[in-house]
Amino acid sequence: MTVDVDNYRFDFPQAVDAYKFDERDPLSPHYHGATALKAVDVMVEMPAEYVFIEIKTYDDLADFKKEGKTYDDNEARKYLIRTLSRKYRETFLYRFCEGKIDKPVYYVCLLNLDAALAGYCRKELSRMIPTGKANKRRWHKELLAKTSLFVVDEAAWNRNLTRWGTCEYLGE
Amino acid sequence: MITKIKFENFTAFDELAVSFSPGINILLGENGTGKTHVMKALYAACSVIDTQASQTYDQKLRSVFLPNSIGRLVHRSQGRNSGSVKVYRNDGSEPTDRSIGCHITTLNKAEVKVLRWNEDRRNPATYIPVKDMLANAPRFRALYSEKHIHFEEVYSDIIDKALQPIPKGKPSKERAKLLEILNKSISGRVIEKNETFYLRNRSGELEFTLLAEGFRKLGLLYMLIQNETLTKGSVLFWDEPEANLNPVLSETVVRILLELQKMGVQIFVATHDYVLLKEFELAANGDSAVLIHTLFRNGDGNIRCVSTRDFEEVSPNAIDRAFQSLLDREINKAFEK
Repeated sequence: MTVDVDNYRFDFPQAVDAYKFDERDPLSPHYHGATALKAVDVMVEMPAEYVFIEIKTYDDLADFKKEGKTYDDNEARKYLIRTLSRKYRETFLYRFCEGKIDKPVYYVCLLNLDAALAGYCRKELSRMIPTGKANKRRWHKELLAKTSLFVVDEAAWNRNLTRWGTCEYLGE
Repeated sequence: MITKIKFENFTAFDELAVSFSPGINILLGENGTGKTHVMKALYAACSVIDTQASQTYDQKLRSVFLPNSIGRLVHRSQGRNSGSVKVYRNDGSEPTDRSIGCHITTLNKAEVKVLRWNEDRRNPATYIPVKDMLANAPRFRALYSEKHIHFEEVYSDIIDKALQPIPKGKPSKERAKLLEILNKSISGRVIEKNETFYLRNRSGELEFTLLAEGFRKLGLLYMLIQNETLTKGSVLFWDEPEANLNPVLSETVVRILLELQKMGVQIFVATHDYVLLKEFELAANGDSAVLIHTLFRNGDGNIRCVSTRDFEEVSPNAIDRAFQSLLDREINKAFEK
């Protein structure tokens, strides 16, 4: 099953379903519809799990500039983490309302960061979502397991996540 | 400025030639790929430019490498009984390079050949070794000159450089700016009394032995800038600036090095550090002539070098490989349930 999104082509040979999740076309069978909610780019249903995929590149930070805020490295970093966490949380909510949180969920952020920065980004994002049980006394369920969050670039995806499928950058 | 080095059967190298930037040269590579050897061979050559220098090139090589005998500097390989190193320099206006070379045999014979190498000028080279020496400076120079102690000469040389007198008058605008940056980073300024270094600030004077090692490194830089050791036409060799340095201070180090380069100092840095390299990548712009040299072993086990100005093209990149391995293992651990 092949999905082309944001200049990337994903191929998930064993997927039950795979589609552009943030679909804006009302005529599409996968039309998102809840415009107030942020959404990840790709939704994959594997036989035993769901995989949420969000693609972000440095170029996407141009959106941040458009918001008219003061641009500095610190703010851009916060913007990136805030956006990635919000996309996950609101997609989770959407899927809950669809009745499709019945399998373990994985969240993959496909970023053009090197491995060291990806490690840092994962740590920040994990805190912001939050992963695991934020309140150990009151939370009986997790938004996302601590070990189910990955921040990768194309090469790291194809080294480590081929159990789900492959990812290829198609160019601009 | 140093333009090139050529090795033939010398220390870790069978055959290697590397051309350098007149600005900043970053040497990358795993342990055992000869980064420090390149820097020491260059440093020894620069140290004998001065016509008043007390040592010849082979003598300086011997004292900075400290082998049991000079013949030990010949690369160990079957059928080879001699090796050589040749260093080239050019002030930018000369039609051809000046050079100095040293041919060494396993029978401990050394022959030096020079082509317009020597000049009536102060030794332009400074070598900052991995280990801090300022805290151990008191009477070290006397001990080194009077007794046979097993220290590479770079450790004694750096103390000499740090103890150079401070020129009279106000420092230039650029120099004052650099001292101010360092002043803020180490919360004070460095002074020296009877070969003992202190950090002086509002709280008083703190001996270097009581100072964090990272601050000692910045303190050394402070002295070298203040006494104008690092000035236009000089060459700085710095082996692993990141050693004992809080990564947060890497930004300051890189900022200072880029400013020194703009002032006309040629810089050689050997590093294993992601943060330092990333700081160079983020800070480098059109004004900064940064060249990255990656040393690596090829399939035959021989050391080769690839040079690039593009940080993304650095390959093989041992630092990136280490982080990739961490990332891969972290992901794979998640699936081990």
